[in-house]
Amino acid sequence: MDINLYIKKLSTKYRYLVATILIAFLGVVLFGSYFGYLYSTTNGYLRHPAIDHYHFRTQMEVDGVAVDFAGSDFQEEYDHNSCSADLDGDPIDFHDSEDQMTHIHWSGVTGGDFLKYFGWNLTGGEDGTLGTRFDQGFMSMHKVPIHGDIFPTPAENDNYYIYTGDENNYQKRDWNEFLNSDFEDFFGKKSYLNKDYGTSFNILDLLTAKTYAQGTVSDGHSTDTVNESVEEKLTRINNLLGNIVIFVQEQEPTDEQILAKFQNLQPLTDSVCGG
Amino acid sequence: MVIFKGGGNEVALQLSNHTYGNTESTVELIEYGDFQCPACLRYYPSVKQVKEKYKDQILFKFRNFPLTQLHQNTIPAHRAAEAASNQGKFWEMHNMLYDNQKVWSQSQSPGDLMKEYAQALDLDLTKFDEDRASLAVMDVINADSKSGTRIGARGTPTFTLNGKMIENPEPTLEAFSVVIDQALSEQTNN
Repeated sequence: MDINLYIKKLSTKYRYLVATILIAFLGVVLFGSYFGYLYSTTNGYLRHPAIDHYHFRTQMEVDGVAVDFAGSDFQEEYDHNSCSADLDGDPIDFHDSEDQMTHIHWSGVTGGDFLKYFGWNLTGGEDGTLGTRFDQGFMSMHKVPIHGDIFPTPAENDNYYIYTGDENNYQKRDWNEFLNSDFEDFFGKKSYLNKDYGTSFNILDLLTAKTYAQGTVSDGHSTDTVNESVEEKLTRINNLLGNIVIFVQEQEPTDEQILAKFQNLQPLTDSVCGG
Repeated sequence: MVIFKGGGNEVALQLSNHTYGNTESTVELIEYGDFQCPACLRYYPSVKQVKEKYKDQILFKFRNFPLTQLHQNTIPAHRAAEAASNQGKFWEMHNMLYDNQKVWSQSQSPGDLMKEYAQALDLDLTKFDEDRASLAVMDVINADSKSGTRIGARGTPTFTLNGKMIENPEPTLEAFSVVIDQALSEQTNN
């Protein structure tokens, strides 16, 4: 039966009811589609972020010009009067006035998100945002903005080259692996923070917000103490996962160019964030 | 003691009771702190000055708020402080921990250092070891932490004045004095 004929046969009251139901259904479909789009274009870790705090030293050169992470475009104010485990801060930042140390504050950040945070969207999704958080409730879902569009624009025929390691031993890495991997997986090293302390069930967890003192009976005596060199100790206390050197240029960099970048990495001297 | 209610359940928890000053005062300043927090270390000298200056006028309390997501060695430190408290030497251990923060916070085995501090404070080491490994001590730490979360604390140090969270004054005696003097003035006027 022709739908228009069918509708004409209905009384006015039922026409309005059918129209209302159709509009409501369309609304649900549209909203559901938009919600699904936001959800699917957000990396899993971002939908429900968790605090972490680790570092890697970074050197980047675009068409022969070094990216200056010590510049005011990149540097964030660092509140020395507060330690925060809040998730409302920046997931990625530079704040030690040097062009070296990337600070990661959320667990699961990928190389692609690192680049997108400063303006290079090489992994898709909406420009201007890393994705959408859903951890604060359905009605409070909100987008995680990027820091800004501040990376220089690469030339048209540029390629991306990435290396990890140090001046004594570095390796060329796969660019797509970098874009799509959690930094801990990419470096093959886990942050020592944000570990599950595995407390037993406590009814309080149903009554109150998660607190920060979910400790166990550990008295801090480690049976895994190893003799450390000074460099190893500094790497540990800085929760340094590794070093990355990125070249964005048409031709593959020479060994001399790569080595120069690794040699430019500043030695660690103390805990970069204190504590 | 604090009562947590919700979902038809009610649980009573024992908070810590680390006090300094005038227990009769109606002006109460509480610090929620993390022994491994560098910011708390920055506040430590001025907080000591505040405690001494106002010891006859206000009641100061310290509550545990270890940020385990950020600080790997903080739990052993808080356990040590609570264990020392069981032998009447909380503030001595509190000061020892802040004075030596850089050493134990970077240690692979902070628990061993805690024992050295306990020894330096002439604590009964057997009881110290038992207490710091106990669930009872961890319950107090967790209770303090949950009470901080309940009043809105998200970092350290967090200060409350007469039960309300306040914006952190600058870490100076002068900045704290402005806030405390006003509270004392309001108490007098009331």
